[in-house]
Amino acid sequence: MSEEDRIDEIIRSAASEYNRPPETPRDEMWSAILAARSAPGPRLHVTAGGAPSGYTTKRRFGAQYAWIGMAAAAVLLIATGVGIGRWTNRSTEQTIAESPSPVPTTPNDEIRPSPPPITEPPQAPSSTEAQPTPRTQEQIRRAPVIKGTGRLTPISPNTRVASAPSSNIYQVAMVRHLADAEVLLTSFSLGSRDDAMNAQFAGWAKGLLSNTRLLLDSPAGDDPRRAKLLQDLELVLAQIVQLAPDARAEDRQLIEGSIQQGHVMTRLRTAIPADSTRILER
Amino acid sequence: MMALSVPNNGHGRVSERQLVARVVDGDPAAQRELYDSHVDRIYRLAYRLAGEDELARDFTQLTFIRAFERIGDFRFESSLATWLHTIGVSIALNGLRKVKTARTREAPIEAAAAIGTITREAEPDLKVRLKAAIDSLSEKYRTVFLMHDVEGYTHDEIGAALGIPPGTSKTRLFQGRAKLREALADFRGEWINE
Repeated sequence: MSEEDRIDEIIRSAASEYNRPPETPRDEMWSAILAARSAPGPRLHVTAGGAPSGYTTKRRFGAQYAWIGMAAAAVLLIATGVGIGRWTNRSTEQTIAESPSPVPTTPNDEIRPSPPPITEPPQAPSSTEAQPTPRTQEQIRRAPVIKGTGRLTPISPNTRVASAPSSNIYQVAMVRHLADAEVLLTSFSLGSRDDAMNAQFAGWAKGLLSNTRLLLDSPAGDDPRRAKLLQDLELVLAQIVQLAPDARAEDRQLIEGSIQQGHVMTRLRTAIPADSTRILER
Repeated sequence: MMALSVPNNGHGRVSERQLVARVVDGDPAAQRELYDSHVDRIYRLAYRLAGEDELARDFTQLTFIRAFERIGDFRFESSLATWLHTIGVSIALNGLRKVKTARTREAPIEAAAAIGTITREAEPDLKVRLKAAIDSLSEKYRTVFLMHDVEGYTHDEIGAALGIPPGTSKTRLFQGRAKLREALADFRGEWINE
């Protein structure tokens, strides 16, 4: 062994004491990881002293306004589409009004009388006197309202018992939710690629993700086709929620790939009925 | 020296693929299994580089948070351990740069002036002198020295984690050792006579 090798060996041996790590705090770190992963978007910020000072997001004045502008543009786009749809579907409105079944949620739904509900009450109105009862109006007034990142009121499992009025409530909630999701995904596709925007989208998607899961567990999720759409939407929203503020372009491309591969936008637009404005007004 | 915690034989890669597939599917048990398999080495390296428990924890946690976010992108072009170390080393070095910049801004001028000028008379203990010498190494030498001579990584693993050829890792280790020998030159006679 040469002199240098010998010195290196002594240094190496002494260096084993350099910053000798303690036992790995596995469980504590795992808990912190789980907590951080359940909080979307924000990133751990290390202070000058090395201590984490909490999870923070960068916000930029201009970016916030850009987000509002894009959302407004997307809403305008949808409203125009709905208006055109209503205008072109006027001829079918009479048929729909006479139908005792709930309003179809997709243009592809056939308009046909629905079988009587299993738990239909004896005093249920006939198709010719389809005036909502005071209870129904109250239910509709209390129908879950989804605005931006707002939350859907949790639905009791008891409401799963099939009835036409509650079915309408879920129709309304479903249509509103799908319209909001379309606005988000349109904005996401058109949005700029900066950190602040990613954080905004993540926050927006978080609210919609909660609502998607609630709808999946509600009677609105009983329809297999809608359930599949909600499941695909859930996946896309979860990806957006987990998008880090400083995410790479490839991360965004992966999400946009999921949207395109699942034809999520097309299916969303198909699932929002042309006369959605009338449904929402009810 | 430590061996890699994940075997590189065929069975290891097969089970690794299965584990990754389960993690991608969102299986919480698989996520914990992946974490348990690699956390010790990641934390040890983070601690060696940072020298503080709090920083080492932050770096380790961020490594796994980012790994779980991006596990769908993992293409098995390297072992999972190498991929995780690439993320971990990147996070630790970037984090340390930020911390160092912030602390330098706050440190008193007198303290800064004393860095690297410790004499044997002032600090006769080898371990303390060695610590000061390692601390004063530039990042590229220090990282390779700690990974190879202290934590037992191979030059291939170091190269993969740092994104440099294994030959560059060898060169940096050689140069880093030379700088340490130079910094501890006044111990030389003592060591030779032992």
